[in-house]
Amino acid sequence: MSQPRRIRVIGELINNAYARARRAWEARDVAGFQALAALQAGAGVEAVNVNIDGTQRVSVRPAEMIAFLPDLIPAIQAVTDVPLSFDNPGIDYHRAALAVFERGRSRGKPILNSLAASRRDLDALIGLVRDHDMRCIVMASEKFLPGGRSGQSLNPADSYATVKRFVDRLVTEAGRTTDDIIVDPGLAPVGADTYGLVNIGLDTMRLCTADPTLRGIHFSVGLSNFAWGTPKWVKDRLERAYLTLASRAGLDFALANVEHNSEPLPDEDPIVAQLESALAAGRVSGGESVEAAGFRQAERIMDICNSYPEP
Amino acid sequence: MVDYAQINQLLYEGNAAEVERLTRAALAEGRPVDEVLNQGLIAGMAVVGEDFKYSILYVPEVLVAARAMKAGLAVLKPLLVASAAENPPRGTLVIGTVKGDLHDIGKNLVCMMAEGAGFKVVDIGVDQPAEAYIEAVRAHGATLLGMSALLTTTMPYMKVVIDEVRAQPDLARVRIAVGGAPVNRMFSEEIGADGYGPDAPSSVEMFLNFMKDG
Repeated sequence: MSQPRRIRVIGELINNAYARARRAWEARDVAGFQALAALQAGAGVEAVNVNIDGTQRVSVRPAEMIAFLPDLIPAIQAVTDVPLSFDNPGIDYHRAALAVFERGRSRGKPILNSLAASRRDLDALIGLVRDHDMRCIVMASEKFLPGGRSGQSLNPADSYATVKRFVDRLVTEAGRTTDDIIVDPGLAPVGADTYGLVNIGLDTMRLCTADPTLRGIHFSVGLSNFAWGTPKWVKDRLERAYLTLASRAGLDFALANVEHNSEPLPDEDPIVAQLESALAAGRVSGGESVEAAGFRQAERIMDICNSYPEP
Repeated sequence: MVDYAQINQLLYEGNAAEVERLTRAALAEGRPVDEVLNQGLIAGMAVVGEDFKYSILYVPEVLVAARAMKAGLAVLKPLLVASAAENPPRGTLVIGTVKGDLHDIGKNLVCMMAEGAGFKVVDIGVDQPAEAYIEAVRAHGATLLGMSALLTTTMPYMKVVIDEVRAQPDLARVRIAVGGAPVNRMFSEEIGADGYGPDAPSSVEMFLNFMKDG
C-alpha cells in the first residue's frame, strides 16, 4: 500500500458561499478580498481561487462580476504573488480577469477553472489557455457526444476518454505539458451518491495514472462536495479519509478551505478503513441497479456518522 | 394488526425489508391501498422530510429512508396503477435540469422526496431543452414543473423555459418552480417562476402548497 501524498490546496475562500466573501462582495470591498487572499497565501495554498459568482444567498449578474474584476484582480495581486485560479464557466469572466491579470506579479501560471465538454465556448477557452500560458482544470465528469453534444460520464471509461481527449487537445492546440493539466475526476456527496460517482472518480484516477501517455497530469477535487449533508462533527474526518484513499489513486490537489486541515489521515486511522468499506459497498454487484448500490453506500456512511457521536 | 405508526418508524429508520413486509401485511389484512400509502408510507416520509429540514436527519439517512419508501411503494404500485382513477396521486411533477447543465444530485433528492410525499414524478433528466419540458408536461398531464441548474451560465435558460411554457395556452395551469445552488428567490421572481425551492424538503412543501391552492 502506498503512503498518502501531500495534497496541494487551491484556496476556495473567495466564494460567495462563505459569509466573509459575501460581505466583501456586497460592499465591493477590495480590502475584504485582499484579506481573504492574504490569509490563504499565508497558509501556503498553491493557488487562490477567485469565484465571485451568485449563490442561493446572493444574486450576482455576469455584468456585475465583469465590472468588478478590474478592481479585484489587481488588488489581490497587490497582496500576494500566489497564482490565481479563475473560476467560472463563462468565457467573458476569464477574458475580463486575464485582461487585468499581471503575469509578472505571479510566481506561477494562472489557472483556468474549468474546461468541460458542455462549455459553450470550449474552443475559445482553450485558446485563452494557450494565449495566456495557463494551467487549467479539466472536468472528467462530462463526456463528448457526437454532434457537438455532451453528457454525464457515468463510468470510469467515459471519464478516462474525456481526459485523453482534453490532454490531446491541450498538448497539441494549446502547447501545454501534462504538468499544466489538472483533472477533476468528479466528486459527489458520498451520502447521496446514487450514480457511484465517488468510485468512478477514484477509478478514473487509477486509469489515468496507469497510462504512461498521461504521466505528469495532476488531479483535483472540490473537497467540500464530499461530505455534504453529513453531521458537521464528522465532515472533516470524512473528507480527510477520502483524501487518504484518493491520494493513493493519484489525487494531489484539492479545492478546499485552507482553514480546515486538508491533510490525508494516516492509513491506520479507523475511519479510513470504514470509508473504504463503505465505498466498496457502493459498487454494483450482480444485476442490481447503480441506485441500489448507492443506497447501500449511504447506509454505510450513515453507520460511520453514527459511530462518531456528537461531541 | 399492522400499526401504521410502526411502518412510519421503520421507514424513518430506513428498514426497507420490514417496511416491505408490513406493507404486504397491511394489504393482506384488507387495508385499502390508499390508506396504506398515505398513513403508512407518505406519513413516514413526511417526518423524514421535516427532520431533514431541521438537520435532525442527515442526507445519508434520507436516502436510506427513501429506499425503504421505495420498497413499500413497489408493493403498492401494481395496485395503485389498477386503482388510479379512484386514488390519483397528489399531483404530477415533471422535473429536469436545464439545457447545457449536466448536474442533478439536488434534483434527484427532490425527486425522491416528492415521490415520498405522494407525487407522481416524471424525471426527464439533465440537459433538457424547453420543448422536452413541454412535451413531458403534456404527455403526463402534469400541473407542476420543476427546473434545476447548477451553473450561472445555464440559469438564464430557466427563463426561456418559463416563457415557452407560458406561451402555450393549454398549459396555463402549470405551476413552475426553480432551484439549484446558484438560484435564489430574487432570481426566481425576476424570471417569473411561481416558486423557488432552496432545498428538497422546502421544494416538496411548495409543491404541496401549490396543490392546495389548486
